[in-house]
Amino acid sequence: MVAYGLPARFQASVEDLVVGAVDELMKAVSGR
Amino acid sequence: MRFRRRFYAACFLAACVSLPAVAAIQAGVATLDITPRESIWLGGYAARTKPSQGIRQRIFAKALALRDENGTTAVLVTADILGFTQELVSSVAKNVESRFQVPRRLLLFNASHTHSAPVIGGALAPAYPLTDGDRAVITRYTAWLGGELVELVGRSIGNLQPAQLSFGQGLAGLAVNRRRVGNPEYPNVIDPDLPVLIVRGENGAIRAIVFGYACHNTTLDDLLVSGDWAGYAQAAVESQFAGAVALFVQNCGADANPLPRHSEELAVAHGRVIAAAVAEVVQGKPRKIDGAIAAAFREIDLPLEAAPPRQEWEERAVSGSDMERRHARMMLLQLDRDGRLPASHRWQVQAWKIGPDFTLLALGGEVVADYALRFKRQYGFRNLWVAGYSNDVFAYIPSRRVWQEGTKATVPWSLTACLRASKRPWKTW
Repeated sequence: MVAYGLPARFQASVEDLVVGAVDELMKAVSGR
Repeated sequence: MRFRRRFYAACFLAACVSLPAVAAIQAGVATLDITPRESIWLGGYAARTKPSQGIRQRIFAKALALRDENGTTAVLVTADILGFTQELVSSVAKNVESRFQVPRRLLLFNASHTHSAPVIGGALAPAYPLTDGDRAVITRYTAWLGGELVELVGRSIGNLQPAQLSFGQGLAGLAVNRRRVGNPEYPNVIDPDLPVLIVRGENGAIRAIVFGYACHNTTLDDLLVSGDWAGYAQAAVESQFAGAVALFVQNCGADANPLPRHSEELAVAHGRVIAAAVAEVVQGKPRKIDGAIAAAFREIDLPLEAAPPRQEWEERAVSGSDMERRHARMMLLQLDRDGRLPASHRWQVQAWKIGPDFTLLALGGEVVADYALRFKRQYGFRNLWVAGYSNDVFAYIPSRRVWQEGTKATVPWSLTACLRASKRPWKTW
């Protein structure tokens, strides 16, 4: 069993990181 | 001259008519019964006090393989479980790539998030008062599942046949934003879209129906194994469309519950509602999907707030609730082993595009509805499917709006907990 659990909550800035990663991904599959 | 022209015209027409219809896409589907064969802890609720006591409904993993005319093969794996773990998915993906040459970006896992299926690996371990014997059962089941999922993928590829794809978006009203329970001033932000991908054989018969919806599978909370409303919805779809395999994809339903709930009767009813919405799309005018498959997969580190100091974990390990003590002990073990606690978590995100008119965006973790609505606004409602609970399911992914609201909420302990600063930070579901 691998210990599973996080020691703290995510920072509020995760939204910016998620949005940025998705933007990059959408460009990648669109060939842009 | 005139005769020759007519002759060539006739030959051309004959050639056109006699040309076989070459399907650009192939599809193959396979199913696997993953109902546990022994009593095992069911994942999702910390309030349970013992392992499963029986089977209400059999649960399944299912795979849909798609291959385009270039030979690119993508496989979607869905399962009636709380969530896949990064460890399990990595192991399966490694074996799938080795045996079937399907790279990671073309293999996508999605969990229905039923709260009535076996605990997988070490997921949400602090929530359950497990004995060593309980852990052994979970380890055995997880290992068995990992091996069988590889075979499942292989069978779906082995079943590839010419196919026609079509896609449509319906709507359903089952989900309620669960943060509103006790907080009626909160907005009812949900994603009501019900994307449906229909796979037909060359003869037009439906072979598979993949449908998604954004809502927790938390109608049921007892000790019986089931797929909850999504399990009943898949069964209802398969009953209505005989010969078709129904695969359910959980969308961004982190902050949505099926209400009302807490009975089998309601789970069945919820399933029928969703199945009826699926049927509307299938019997409507879904658009044909065709073309090359493009896929991308990324991992990024999502930062956590600063973890409490060791002293606070030591205090929690003796003075907190049962779950807080278990979590604190887990953190202390990590501190002893690594000298520090993680400052971030590696998040996985994946996208598939089939032709110009269909994109499946698959987000890891429990993602709140804000993200799905934002991405569909940005990239288009008609052609985009935004799934959550994909690949690794390890924690809630709050939007900034939810994050800022978070500490006021007294609603579902789980979502509240993930947002309450370092109070119940282990809350991963």
